[in-house]
Amino acid sequence: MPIDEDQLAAEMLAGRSGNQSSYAKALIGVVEVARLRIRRKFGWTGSDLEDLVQEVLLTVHLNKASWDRDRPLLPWLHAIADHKALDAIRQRRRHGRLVATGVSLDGMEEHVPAPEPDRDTLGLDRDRHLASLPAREREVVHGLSVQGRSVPELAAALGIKETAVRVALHRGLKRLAAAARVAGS
Amino acid sequence: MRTEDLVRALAMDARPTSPLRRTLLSTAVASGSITLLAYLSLADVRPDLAAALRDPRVLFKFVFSAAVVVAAGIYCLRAIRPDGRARSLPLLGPVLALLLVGVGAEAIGTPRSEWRAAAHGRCHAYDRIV
Repeated sequence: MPIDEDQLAAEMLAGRSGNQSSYAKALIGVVEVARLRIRRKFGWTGSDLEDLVQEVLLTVHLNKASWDRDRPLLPWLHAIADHKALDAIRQRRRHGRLVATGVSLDGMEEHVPAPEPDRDTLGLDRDRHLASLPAREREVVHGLSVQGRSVPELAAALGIKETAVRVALHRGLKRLAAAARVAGS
Repeated sequence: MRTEDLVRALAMDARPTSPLRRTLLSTAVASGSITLLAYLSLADVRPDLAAALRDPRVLFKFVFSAAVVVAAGIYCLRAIRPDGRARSLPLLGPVLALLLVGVGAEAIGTPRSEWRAAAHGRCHAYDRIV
């Protein structure tokens, strides 16, 4: 399905003013754009691709203020996806995983795709980073994402205020993004 | 963590966010105003400033500073965008050209024998020592 850039921009704009349901739609669009971009331009697939897409998502979320509404959204998204992909490629190179196969930055599209993995292995990086969060932030991020609970539900379960849940969520997401950056540097 | 799960958590963290460009511009206006106020109230502004500004050499100092501010501002606004190409040369070029024109005009208007003194400038402390 082709991406409707105008619609995505409208959803992103509404999301940036605090509208949750528009923002959720915008983020789903971001996932599609990032997946397509990284697969086509850099040839990544499977769990590697999904880890990168999640990193792009976190970056977009924490840096959405840098999108200028007078400018098209897709070049902004593509730039973020490209930066993340190039960072990841450099990191792997440093680890020497791709050196042996002679893959260069320019020739990434020739990189032989790995077989599609189980869905269970997707997002492993995030789980690893999640485990490194302080307990409260980990409980909140895990509860709202993997367990799919709502904010009031989780607040009641943890015996804290809803605002405390939101604060912990924001801090936890920031820390997740930072953990990905540290792992990549 | 599945990507859909992450999306759900991120959506719950939706909060009103003001665009970075607006934040940057309003901060610039605010800090500029404070600086101007501090300058007018704390520093000794020369009393004949209005008259002095008619001298192109004095005026040039302000024009040049303004050019640096504008170039740096444009650079900043580009650099905060991930998709922005923040190349400094096209922006610095006009500023450097302006500087060269100013120096050139000054050199032409000064006898060659006084170039060294003109480049050095004069200050009272220095005069007293020499």
